[in-house]
Amino acid sequence: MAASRLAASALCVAAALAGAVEAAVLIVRHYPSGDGLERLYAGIFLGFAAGVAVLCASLFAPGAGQACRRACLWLLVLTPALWWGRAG
Amino acid sequence: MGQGGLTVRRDIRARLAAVHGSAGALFGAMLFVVLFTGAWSAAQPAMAGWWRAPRAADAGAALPLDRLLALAASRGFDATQARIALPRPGDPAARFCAGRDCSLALDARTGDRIPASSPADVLVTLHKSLYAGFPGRIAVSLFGVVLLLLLAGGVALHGPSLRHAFRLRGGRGRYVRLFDLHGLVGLWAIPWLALFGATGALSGLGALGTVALAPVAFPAEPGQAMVRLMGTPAPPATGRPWLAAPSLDEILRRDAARGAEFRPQALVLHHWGDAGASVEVAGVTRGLPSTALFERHLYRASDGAWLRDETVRGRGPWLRAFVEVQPLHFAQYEWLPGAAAWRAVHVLMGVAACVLAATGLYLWIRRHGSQRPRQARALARAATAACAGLVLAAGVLLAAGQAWPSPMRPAAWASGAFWAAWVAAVAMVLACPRPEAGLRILLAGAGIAWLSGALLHLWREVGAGMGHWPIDAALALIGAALLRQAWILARAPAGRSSRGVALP
Repeated sequence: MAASRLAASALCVAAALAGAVEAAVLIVRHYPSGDGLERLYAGIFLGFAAGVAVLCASLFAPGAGQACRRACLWLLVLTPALWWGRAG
Repeated sequence: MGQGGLTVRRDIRARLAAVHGSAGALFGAMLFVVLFTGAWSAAQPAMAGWWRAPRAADAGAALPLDRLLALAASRGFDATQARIALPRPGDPAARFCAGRDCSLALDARTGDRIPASSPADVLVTLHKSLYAGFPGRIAVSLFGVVLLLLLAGGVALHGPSLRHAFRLRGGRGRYVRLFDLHGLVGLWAIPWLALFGATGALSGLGALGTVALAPVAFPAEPGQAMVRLMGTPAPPATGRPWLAAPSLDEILRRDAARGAEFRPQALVLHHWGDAGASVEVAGVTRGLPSTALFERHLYRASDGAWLRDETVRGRGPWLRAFVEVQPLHFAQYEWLPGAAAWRAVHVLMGVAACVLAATGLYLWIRRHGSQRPRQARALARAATAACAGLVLAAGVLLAAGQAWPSPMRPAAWASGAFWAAWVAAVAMVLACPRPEAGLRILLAGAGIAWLSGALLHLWREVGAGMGHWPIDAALALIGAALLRQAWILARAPAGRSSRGVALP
């Protein structure tokens, strides 16, 4: 029980980190501003805020399964979007 | 609400408590070190004059800047590409940096050489980078995320309830009293804890993100990110020497005449000695949260003509948010009216955050002492060595910084005393059979050291104006509080869990 919770917590941290980086890259690419610095810092701030929010939401989930779902759900959306944007 | 709903709520509450407690136990001691060194770093600009040897109050007004630059040049200072940090209220030092070498500082009132570094820098560096460069800076930033996580858990667990805002129950034992103190301090400090966590995390991760995401924002030329951030470079050198040396004082006068809202903090010299030399007056503008790095007025050196201003005013909201991180994190409130009061509140809340971390560790150890005696004992030792050891070492640094009689106090000597005291504290806690005995000794030693630092400084400043007495009073107050805590621990019997983990 404790080991599965520990593994779920580690997964939450890793998924929140990966998702925050992916969100930041997507925002830097697509934020509606012509100023590159604005897009850069919008990506950093919003990616950071989203990462912390997902980390809290997943770590505070009542069960290990729900924690993993909360942590990984946004990766299912962000990862294809990231690759699609790259191809575009 | 049905039985199922209640069960879920109980589950969530149990999970919140588990995450809050586990994260606190895992990172609490290190978080205390980061918070303590952070509060210390925020206080240092106000304490810069405290560390210096006292001088008679009638030492006179500041010398002209041109005279100070000439004195610096006579000591071998190369002004070709240089930065001069101007003296600040309470600290008469004018600091001269040639490139990365900032080893020269002159007393602006006398022109005498004074130490450029302070013994206090040892804790400031610990807070900024753990003495590990950029990776250390990132590691410290991650504790901002930990603080945010603990804050979110604490607020979700206990809620911002008025019941906790004034509750400090006495006569029901130390655990209940410290539980109330933990809730009370946590509640009142919520805005500052969020500020410390967010700005602390972003000050390191923001810099990392700037470097890592620059190729995404500027695919053709990633170096543009830094160029656009720092503004247009100064005009290039002509290769011809100037006909006459320009006056820095005149340029400062012209800049002051342009508007009283701007407060100069430093001068940046470009191609000094060349006919194309220029000077940037760097500072802060009242009402604009920014730093001297981003607020600069450029003047041509030859005739003192204004060329352009670099400022974040009018730039995008996200860039301004990034620029605001540093002044908000390090209590650089010169852009606000009543800057000293804001800084005092910031430092006070930093101390409150340390109390929060220490009481949180205590509560976890007491709560889990019977179920997990080995972990509780190990955490009690680690927390005592790291937290109480650091407080003792900081006190030793304060006392050592005042005990050395020379006006050129060697910062290395006091820094050595700091590290020696911390290592000795760790060794003593490891050698002590019971952690609470070590805690009592460390708190008593820390109280004596903090009091000694304050009293030694007061004694040395008698007849020299005693301009730093509020700092002495604050240090003495902390010393007295530490001594009182040691006395309480010595008087009251230790709490003992069923498995024999003796805890104070």
